[in-house]
Amino acid sequence: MSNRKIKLVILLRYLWLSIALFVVASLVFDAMSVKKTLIYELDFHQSISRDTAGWYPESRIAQSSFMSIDAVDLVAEPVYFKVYAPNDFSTMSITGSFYTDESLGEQDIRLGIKKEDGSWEFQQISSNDFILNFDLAQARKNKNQFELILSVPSLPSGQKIALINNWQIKFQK
Amino acid sequence: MKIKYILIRDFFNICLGTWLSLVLLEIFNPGMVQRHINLEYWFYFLIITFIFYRLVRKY
Repeated sequence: MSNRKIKLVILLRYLWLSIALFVVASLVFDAMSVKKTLIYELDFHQSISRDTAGWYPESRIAQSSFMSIDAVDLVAEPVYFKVYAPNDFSTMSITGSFYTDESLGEQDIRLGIKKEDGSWEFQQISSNDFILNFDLAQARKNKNQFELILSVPSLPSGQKIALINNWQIKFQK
Repeated sequence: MKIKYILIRDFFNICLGTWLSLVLLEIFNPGMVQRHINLEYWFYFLIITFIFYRLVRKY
């Protein structure tokens, strides 16, 4: 093999190695993030994204019938949501909004997080615009993901609640 | 033909080594890799590259 060909082989070999090392290093640095807060702006129109999965089962969620608002409809309950959290955060706060038809009246809406023992820690949502704080010390972290549940036990059959597409999850150390 | 064989061999070896490293990282820290790179598709690509590598070696 001529010198030129040998140089080409070596050049390409180092090129592939550099790309591979760059890929691995960027993933490692991304995971070693030392941020004190992590904020996710949720988009309910995407059932699966890089950092979140939900709401599921998808059959319990529908495109919103309330034409003037950006939302998805909860047609049956409960529904679940998973969110990825790469580091050890101590608290999680969730902000968001609901819309319910006046004829539905007041509903018992609860948002919960799965605990280590498999049970759910629920918090009551008392108004259409809410902020909830969860302590993550006892929360179950499965594959770096936390699981949430949205429960509306008194939701009548055939009725729906609109989940406004403005929810935000904030992790803090 | 020999140079093509060497180039494909190097490319396959580095892809395989990188994939194995990423799988190990994913096992020790779930979600770290799979959120960004689909390791399953990478594995299928390795199989195709390996078939190509064996064909080039044979001929």
